[in-house]
Amino acid sequence: MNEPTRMVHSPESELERALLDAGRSYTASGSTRAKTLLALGLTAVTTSAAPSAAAAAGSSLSKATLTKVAATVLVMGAVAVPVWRYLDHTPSGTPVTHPVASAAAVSPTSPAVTEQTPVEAVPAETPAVAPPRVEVAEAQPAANARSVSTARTDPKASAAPPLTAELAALDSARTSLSHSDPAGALTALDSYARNFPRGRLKMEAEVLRIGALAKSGQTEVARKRAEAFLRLHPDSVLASRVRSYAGL
Amino acid sequence: MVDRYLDFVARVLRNAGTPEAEVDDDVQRTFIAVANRLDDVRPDAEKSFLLQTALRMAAHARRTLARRREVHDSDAQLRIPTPLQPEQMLDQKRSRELLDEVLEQMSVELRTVFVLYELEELSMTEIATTLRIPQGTVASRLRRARADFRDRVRALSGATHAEVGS
Repeated sequence: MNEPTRMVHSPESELERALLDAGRSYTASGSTRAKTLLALGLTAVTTSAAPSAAAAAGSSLSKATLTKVAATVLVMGAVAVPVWRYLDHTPSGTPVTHPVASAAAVSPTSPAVTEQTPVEAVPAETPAVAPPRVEVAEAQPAANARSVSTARTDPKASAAPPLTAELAALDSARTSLSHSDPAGALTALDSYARNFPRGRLKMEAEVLRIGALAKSGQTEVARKRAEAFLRLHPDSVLASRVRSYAGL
Repeated sequence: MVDRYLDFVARVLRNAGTPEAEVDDDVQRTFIAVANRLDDVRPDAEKSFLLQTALRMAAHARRTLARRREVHDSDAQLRIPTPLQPEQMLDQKRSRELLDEVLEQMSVELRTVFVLYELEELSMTEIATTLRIPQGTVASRLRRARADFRDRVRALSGATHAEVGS
């Protein structure tokens, strides 16, 4: 399609240029990033992915980073939950209080909304996907770990097997699961269990296993494992995913 | 994803009509809403998903703002543009205010296409995909949006010159 030159490159007046520049140069406020990471439960996250590397590597690295952050979030789960509960009592200007509920509340009925149906799935349009508020909040960090690209290496973790290997193993399982290949996911998870008997991402692996079992038709096994998981980790950031996978 | 798209999301929200004071909250809501659907998002579709979610948030913010103005109708009457002085032309804050005024006067359909093409530099194909409308419709809306924007800026400029000259 023949596209016209952007107006900013041939403005009709200085005023027009100034207005276009104002719109194009808008950036998030200095505190927005911190608030957003906090709202996602991702502050104080420490992984080995450097920002520049993440930016350069595109979505595949970003996907790997997801799991990296998931791992960190698991470790800091005990911190994340109180953070989210703290947010529940934080006034305006700080990270949003009921983020998912608010997102789900966005009506899809306006013209702008009806024409903005998603390419692949409907964003923020299906309240059913939003678990109860606290659980959602707690579940966000692990679910959204893909998002973080800023990181440092945890010195305590450096003596253990590389976290990246664990992440790759789980990423493989996740990919299989997302491609409706639960058998492949279970194979990847078995491999993970063999290779990392003391893996730091065992909780995430168990959640994926519950999902894979459920999707492979072993619903009763999945349900029992889910119930066991929830008994042990009722406040886990992964709890809502477990419930979702197992249909609880 | 946060680092890569934070400014993009904030900019789309702001230019699509989210009030400045609510951008922070809506940035968070946008990322959280996307996080909640992460399993449904292809890795190469993150930006598109964020964009759609941000547009949805902005639509919600516009509706809320419109309701507030209905309730406080007198406030709306007080929103008379302040005359622009020549030396203020390049002042970023003032430019932002004027841009808001111009964009607010545009229809949602035209504004959305204008923002995505002129400010975000999305291609017309990308816009058509994002909004799920035919490319011909995008072209038509863009043509009208550019003319509309230009007319409004001219009017603003003329009014300003009149003020300055009087």
